[in-house]
Amino acid sequence: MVKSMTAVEMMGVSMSYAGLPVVDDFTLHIDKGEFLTLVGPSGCGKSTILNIVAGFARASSGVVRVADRDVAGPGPDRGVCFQQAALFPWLTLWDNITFGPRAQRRLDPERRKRAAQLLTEFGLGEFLQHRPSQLSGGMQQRAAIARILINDPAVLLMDEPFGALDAQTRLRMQNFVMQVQAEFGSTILFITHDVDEAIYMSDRVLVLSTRPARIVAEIVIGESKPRTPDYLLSEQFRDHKSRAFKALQSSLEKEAA
Amino acid sequence: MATIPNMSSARHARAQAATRGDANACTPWYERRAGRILLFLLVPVVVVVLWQALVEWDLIVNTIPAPTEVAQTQWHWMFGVPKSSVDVYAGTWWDQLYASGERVLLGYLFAALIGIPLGVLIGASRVAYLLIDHIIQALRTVPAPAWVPFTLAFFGLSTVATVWLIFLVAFFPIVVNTASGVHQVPTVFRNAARMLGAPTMFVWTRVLFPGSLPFIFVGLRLGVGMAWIAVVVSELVGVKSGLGYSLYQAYQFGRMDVMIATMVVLGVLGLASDRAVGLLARWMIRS
Repeated sequence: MVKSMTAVEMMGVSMSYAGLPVVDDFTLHIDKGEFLTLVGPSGCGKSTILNIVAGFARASSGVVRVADRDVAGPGPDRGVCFQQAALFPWLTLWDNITFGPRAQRRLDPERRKRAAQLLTEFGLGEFLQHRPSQLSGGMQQRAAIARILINDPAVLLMDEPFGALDAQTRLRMQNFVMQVQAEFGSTILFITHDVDEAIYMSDRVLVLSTRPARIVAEIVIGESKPRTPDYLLSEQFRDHKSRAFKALQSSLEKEAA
Repeated sequence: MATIPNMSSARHARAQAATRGDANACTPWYERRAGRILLFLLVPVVVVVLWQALVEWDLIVNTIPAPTEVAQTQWHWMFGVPKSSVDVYAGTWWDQLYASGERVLLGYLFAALIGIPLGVLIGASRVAYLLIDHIIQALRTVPAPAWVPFTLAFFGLSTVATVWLIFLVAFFPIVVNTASGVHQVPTVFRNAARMLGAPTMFVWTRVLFPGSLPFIFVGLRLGVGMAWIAVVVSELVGVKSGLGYSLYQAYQFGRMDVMIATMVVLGVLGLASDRAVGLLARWMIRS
């Protein structure tokens, strides 16, 4: 069998909650190494889509495949970054980072070495014995990314991971994630309601309508990486942004009508 | 660093500490060692002094012994050498302490060893909750003394009966608090563990259990108090050894001094075991 270029595949996925359709006949495709962002109004069901890929929520119909395997429950091949870092507060940083391998009984010397390398690279090398509460918000999110990367996931699922951070830290984290993606060749499914963040970081942005989520615009961001904050002031960025806003606007008007 | 002139060095140090957010240097008097000891002892000392005065000045019924007499009795009971064969309160205290302590420890350990895992199970598994929770809620409202007749009839006047009774009363607060502790562990921690590849058992033992430790310790603290109550109840009504039995015997002999000494000892033991559980909690919950 030829190894496919597809990392994530959703076909005709539907899900309702309490009789309301949250996701209706949703289809999505992410290439390996692609950074795809879903942007949409809050409550549009974008987090539900991520939760279905993560395996936390179950689609009532449709196909969900990650790395050519049907999704059945959560697993280490899909690392999730939550809105809060969600590090275990009773564990040291080191025990948090090595939690995945330990849970899978695969914490061998090689993985320890990789965990140590990751932590040094992420600027967390001096804090191995610290508790999460002793770290800053940005450090906590970097640690949350490190504990996922140690599992070598096929895709990183990031659910508004920088929502709780201040503006400067957020910009630093955005650059950090792009750097990580470049270095590890990660596939990323990113969720946000911040259009700027979506365009700044992604290879492709899908603008979603209000519930049930439908794709109202697909914006391919051609800009090469690495990107710098200067990109936020460029002509192309403004064009992408106005397209995204128009798409959001028209979907909101349709709902009001 | 800029220094503020005309400021005493102590005040200066405190001000600096305050900007650093260092609580130590700004500790109020009642949080310092001497202050805490003072507050700890103030009420007991006042009560004992008043009580001694009331007895000395004959302002209280003469069946009540003075604190000094009670202390002498306790001393003799602990370290005294029997002058005659009828002096049951000479050096025999340790045997009673051991009898009661062993029962409390055994019953309490069983209660923790069964109550905590069962609580995690009820908190974590919906099926287990629907299967067991209502039974526990029904049984735990039966007061401890109500179990006594059944227990004595079933086990007889034995140590097993006492241990069983202690187990029962300590078990319910432990299991109920553990279950609600597991309930309050944020879903995001469960999801984080699962997406990191943790199997169900690992999630229970490494996430739900540590995540509910503060609640588990609430149960353990309530339980240890209940355990001392249960041991005294069962020794009062039947079992022929231990501090509860001494209390009963002292009543029969009309030894008010022994009764009061035993009550004080029980209070001190209860406080000590509560503090011990508290220390264990502080050592185990570090986050």
